[in-house]
Amino acid sequence: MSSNRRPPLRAVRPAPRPDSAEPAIDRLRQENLLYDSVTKLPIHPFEDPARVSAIERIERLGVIYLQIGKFVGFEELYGWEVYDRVLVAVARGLREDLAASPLAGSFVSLRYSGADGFFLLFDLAAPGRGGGAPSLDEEARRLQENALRRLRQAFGGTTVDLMSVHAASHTARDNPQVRPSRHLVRNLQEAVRIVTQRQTREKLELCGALKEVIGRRRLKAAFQPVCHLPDGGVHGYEALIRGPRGTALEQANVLFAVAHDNDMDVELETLCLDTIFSSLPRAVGKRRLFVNASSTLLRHPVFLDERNLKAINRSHGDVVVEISEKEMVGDYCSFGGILEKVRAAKMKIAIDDAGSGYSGLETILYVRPDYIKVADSLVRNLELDPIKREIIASLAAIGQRVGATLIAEGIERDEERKALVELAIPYGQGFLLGRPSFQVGGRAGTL
Amino acid sequence: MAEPAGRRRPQRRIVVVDDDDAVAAAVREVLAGEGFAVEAPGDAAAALPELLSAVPDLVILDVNMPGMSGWELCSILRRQSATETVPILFLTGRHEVKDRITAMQLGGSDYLAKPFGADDLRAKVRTLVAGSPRTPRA
Repeated sequence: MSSNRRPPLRAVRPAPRPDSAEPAIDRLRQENLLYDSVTKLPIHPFEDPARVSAIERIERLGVIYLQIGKFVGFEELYGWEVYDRVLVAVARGLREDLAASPLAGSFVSLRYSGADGFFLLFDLAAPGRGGGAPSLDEEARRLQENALRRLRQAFGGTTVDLMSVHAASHTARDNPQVRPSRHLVRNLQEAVRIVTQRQTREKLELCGALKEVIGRRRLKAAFQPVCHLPDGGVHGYEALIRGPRGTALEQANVLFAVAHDNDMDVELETLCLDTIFSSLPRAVGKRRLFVNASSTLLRHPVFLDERNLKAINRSHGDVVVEISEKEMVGDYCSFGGILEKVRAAKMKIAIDDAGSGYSGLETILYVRPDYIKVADSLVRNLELDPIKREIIASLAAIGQRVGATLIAEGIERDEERKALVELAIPYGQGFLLGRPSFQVGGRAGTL
Repeated sequence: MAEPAGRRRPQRRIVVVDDDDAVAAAVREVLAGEGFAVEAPGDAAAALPELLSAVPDLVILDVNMPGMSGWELCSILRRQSATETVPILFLTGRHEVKDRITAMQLGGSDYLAKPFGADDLRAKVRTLVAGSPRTPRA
């Protein structure tokens, strides 16, 4: 007889801990997943289980969807720490506005979308809603205006102009033909669709504006000093691009984001280089010149053309090409040949945004740059943050290993400069050391 | 300045959360010599209830642990009012910049990569405990 018997089943679940801590741990782990750690709000579509059924059966549902920062990728430009602060400010403002709102009696739920948006749910048939109460649309506009006002106060106008805050409202009646759970989700999606539609209009307008800027060559080059940190002496200048003053495309970040969105990166960057090298102030010509280039531009035959490289060389004999760390991710092999050509044209290489986390330190070992530019997100408040100092120290150690000089970016306060000097970082740039200026050594044009 | 008679400062408590007993023992050896009371309850799931019931002056946290990772434990601790400001030092074999950034994003206070030097550990712990909101100010 075969003895092919199955072994007895074992309990899969381990025995509970004697102190019965397990249910509490499970609850804490669940909360950790369902609530956003930054805004402290429930992450959509999570809802308090005790209220789900009531929300799904709201007879006349009102939804306001407020979205920030999606269009030009605010978080990608300014980093997660600034964006965390933006989200906290918006969430706190929404709570305050709701508490004081004439629609407070109808308010049901505030949720975070998990990325760039907030959902506000109202029961518009709820008793106690006065006849003089504003419409949901008016309330959406008020929330949008208040969010923008608070962000301007906290972050300054230029930064907020990149954020593109939109709020839209949508109202829906209960429909007995439709299952309530799906009805709710569809109406939330409808509010998102209205916001997306508005953003699409904005995108098209900006695309048209960018085409005009490129067509009419309406860019200007500004130059920001790179200074020796202990004594403030000027080591070189970084060329920075500005669009037409007072327009939505004035900031380089917006210019490049719009160009990227419309596959116009190479056209824009080529014009940037033309603009920089055709308007070099005399003082910049005598110092080392740092110029940004994307991997798309560096790979492009127009840039790599020998005549182009020689022309750059004739305009300025001491150029450092800055390549962002994020451009290098996982593509060392194809980049090696390009970097060789850049070096053969007597240009130096800098890794920009180093330590921002796009790639590991092995990128630096592979590229062996002449300069490592420490990301400004690491410099901000570094004197208060041991982990930031730890990352900068490891960049300095690896810089020493490959013979690269470190430059810290975005220095705005003397405490940051002193902390960098303590870490033996030789060079830096930022508003504390010198703002970008159109006429270096001249009177006019500080930005 | 000497402590006034009868007002001895209580011994500072440090909890090491690492499933590797050898690492916990090494940390204990280094820090016990500094006058700290070092506890090592084991992995993250075992440590969580203890940390919430008696908040220490410092938590030293490994990242890779079975069941609950150090990242998750840190995130949970930062959500609780009792532990939202307790200093957390990550002590981990993960060396990437990305890991250090994750530590910052989750609310970690400092980071030390394994293998660690005793002097580095002492220096970081002293700084963190001195700045701990639980530590009485002079």
